[in-house]
Amino acid sequence: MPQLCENTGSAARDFAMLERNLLSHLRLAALLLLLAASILLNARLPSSSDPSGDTPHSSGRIPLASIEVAAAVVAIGAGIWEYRRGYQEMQDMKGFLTAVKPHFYVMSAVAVVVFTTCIILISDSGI
Amino acid sequence: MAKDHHYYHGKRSYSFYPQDVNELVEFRARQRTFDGAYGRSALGALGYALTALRLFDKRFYNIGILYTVLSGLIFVVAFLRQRHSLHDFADSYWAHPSFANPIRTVGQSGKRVFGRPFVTAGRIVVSLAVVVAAVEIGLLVLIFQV
Repeated sequence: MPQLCENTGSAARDFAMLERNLLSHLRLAALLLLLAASILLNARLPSSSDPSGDTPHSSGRIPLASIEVAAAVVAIGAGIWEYRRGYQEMQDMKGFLTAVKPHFYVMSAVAVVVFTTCIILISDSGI
Repeated sequence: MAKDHHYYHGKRSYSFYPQDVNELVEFRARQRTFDGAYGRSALGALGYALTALRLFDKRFYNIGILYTVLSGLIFVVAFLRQRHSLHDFADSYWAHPSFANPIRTVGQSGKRVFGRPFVTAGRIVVSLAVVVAAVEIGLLVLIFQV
């Protein structure tokens, strides 16, 4: 719920930074969900080499799309967790924000998922 | 061998509270860039990778990988840059001889000093420039291969 915070020092700018960080996570999650939808629906933007935009069917579509959805949920979770942790620590006037390192590890895992997806898409032309 | 921990006014980083609002503003200003802007840049590159990966032609798969690598490298650079804050305010660096002769800011003599002299982002900027240049060269190679 919204709270009234006295705007001392750079409080408003600091909370705005947390908001921007959260929005970046939400944007990434939206793109991950878009990727999952594209895999499930066998759809992509049509091009001169592939005017229909369709791809052949493959049994790996659902597991891969599920992993993308899970990565999107993890990205949203990491964003919300970083926001809430940072919010609390800013209110407590802590010098260092402690969410940085765990957040780095979680988002590295999401990056690994994206990288692995690239490899799978290259190796399995049916997806 | 015991790990060499940093202390801040005699406290560990997780239990450290700045002395006053001015010092807190100094911390937060760095965190807005090191914890915020760098991380968002990395997430943005990852988003581009996803867009290139699936929505466009299959020939874009390799470009998707390239952007994923770019994102990973920016994450690493962000992590390294963020660690500067941990060093900047550490007690052990306050009187460190290698920071004895910083460049003086005109008109700021006698003013309050926060932490050790600020180390500008020269190496980080060069690292990022090298990373982005390498990715752009890779992009050109992939384009000419198609």
